[in-house]
Amino acid sequence: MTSESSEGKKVTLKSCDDVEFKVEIPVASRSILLKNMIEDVGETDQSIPLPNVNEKVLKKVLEWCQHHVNDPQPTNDDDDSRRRNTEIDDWDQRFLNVEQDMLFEIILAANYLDIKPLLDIGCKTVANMIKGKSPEEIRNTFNIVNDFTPEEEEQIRKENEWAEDR
Amino acid sequence: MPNKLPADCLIEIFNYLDGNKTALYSCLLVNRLWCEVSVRVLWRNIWDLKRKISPSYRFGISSQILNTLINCLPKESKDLLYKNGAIPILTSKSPLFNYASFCKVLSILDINLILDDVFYNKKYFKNQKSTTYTLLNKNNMIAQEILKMFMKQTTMKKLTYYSDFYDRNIPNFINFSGAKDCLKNLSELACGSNVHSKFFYQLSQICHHIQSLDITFEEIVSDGLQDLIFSQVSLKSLTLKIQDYDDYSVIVPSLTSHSLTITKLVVQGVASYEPLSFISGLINLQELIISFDYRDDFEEIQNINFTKLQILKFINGCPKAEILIKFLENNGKNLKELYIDKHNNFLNLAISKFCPNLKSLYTRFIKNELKTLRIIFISCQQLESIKIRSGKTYLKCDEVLETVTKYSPKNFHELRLRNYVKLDSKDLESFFIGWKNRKVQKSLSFIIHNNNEENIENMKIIEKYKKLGIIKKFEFE
Repeated sequence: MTSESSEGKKVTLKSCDDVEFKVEIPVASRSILLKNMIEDVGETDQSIPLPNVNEKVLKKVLEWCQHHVNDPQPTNDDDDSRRRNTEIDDWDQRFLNVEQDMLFEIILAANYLDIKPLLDIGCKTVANMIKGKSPEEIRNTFNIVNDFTPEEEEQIRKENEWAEDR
Repeated sequence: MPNKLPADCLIEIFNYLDGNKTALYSCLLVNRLWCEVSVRVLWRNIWDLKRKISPSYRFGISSQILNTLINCLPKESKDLLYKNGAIPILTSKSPLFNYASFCKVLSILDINLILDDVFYNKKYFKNQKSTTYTLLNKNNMIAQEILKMFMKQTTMKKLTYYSDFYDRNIPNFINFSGAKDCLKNLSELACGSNVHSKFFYQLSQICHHIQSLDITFEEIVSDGLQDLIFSQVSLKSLTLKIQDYDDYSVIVPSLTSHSLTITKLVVQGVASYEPLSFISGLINLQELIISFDYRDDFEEIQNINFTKLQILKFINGCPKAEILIKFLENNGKNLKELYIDKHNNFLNLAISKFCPNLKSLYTRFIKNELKTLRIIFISCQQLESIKIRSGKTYLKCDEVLETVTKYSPKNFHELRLRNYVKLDSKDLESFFIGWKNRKVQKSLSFIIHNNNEENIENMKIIEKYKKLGIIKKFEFE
């Protein structure tokens, strides 16, 4: 659906904690999941329930969709170039300057709603947080418990030690 | 972690670390979930090892990779190698993962180089006095079993196939069981033109979706190479590496069938006199990169319209200015990236006139041409990044910084300076203050090409403005 044909028309999205958001269709259509739903269902007064996204996160995701409403839709061809580029533009960097829980919630929501560019910048941000850290520092940063047995850990180390930075 | 990221999000994250082996190695050791996901990314390409490192360090890495690969071999292969004395011990413990199945890149030359690193090192076979001949035989035997394993257990995305210095007998792995499935989805091939004709021909029968083809021309150009090129249906990127007197013209007829799909062409070499006229047929080119010491036959394509051309780079030599100006007049409008390693003020003025949509530019200005730089900034309002030389015969560093602050367009955010001469702390700080006071706030990446590091005083200033968000990145390249 082009932004021209749907300009002004709105769709209602309902978060998992029952808060409704009236959103312009081009903004909602940044999500491929919503775009396809809107195209399939057509105009409707009924709200679209989003059982995996709460109010706080949905509000944040919609803020991103609003800012990027006029960006071109990504194509599958762009996959490699997307991965090569680890730069994040200034606005997106400020947008993702949030608590870690919120960052993960945004990534999960972008994954569920199929918003590739938002998923990308979320993942790039986490990837940048990983760079230069030891396994222990990563665990501390993301509050992860080490569930390896000592034997397993030793075997992984040995089988992959060619990749270790010495 | 209250919101545990699932495997499908973790894989997206680790994809951004592809090639960063140190980071991926850390991820492996975090916990089981991270390990299971990151191991697939780490093993995707195990061949891009730095070969210029010291022999003992290289031996360490090569033997570690080889040990794990040998450990992944099926029992019958291990038995065979042990019986023939190709491996010193027989390990019974299975690896935690079937690492070979994660490999998506296969480099034939690197398999041999790794084997050479290990077997020519005395540590591996302490008590054996092996002749070069028997070592080569053992290497071939191990290479053969490893290749059999790859053919059976994985599907490759990229194949790199060059003959090696010893011109040894590389097993014809395309005949191994499973090779058809392993190689049919190749999307990238980097090869020497002298690889056996039969291999190219057989590959042309099973693999039709190569998107990126990188050919290094040798004295011999195998006939089968043409068959392979003809058989492809979606060739997008072509790289031709040419040495003195290599004749690449024999493949030109096979390229014509791809004239509509090829969007990227890289031609590099040394003083080759092979014609470039075939480029004129590639009308959908988006990216053209030419790297020669000197060319004077660009004339043939100066009048061709490449309506989709966005990236144009001349890495070493450059065509005559008047020819290039004509080419830009025809093709400059859609250019986003232009790289010209040549000084000519008329050419720079032509860039400002014919390339209004440039986002990234590298060119040279000599002193007294500050005005031209200003004109480019005013004319090319989409410009985001510029790389220029400074110092001695070129523009003075402080003049460049002042012009960038005053005249660069609103989306400008990257300055690369070659031959950067260290600035006084005062000048550097006044540049950052000037950048901070611009109407449009965009944090700046400042990348300098210089052998000497900045002094402590300047680094303090840079750190200060980094913290303030005025400087996004400061790097030496």
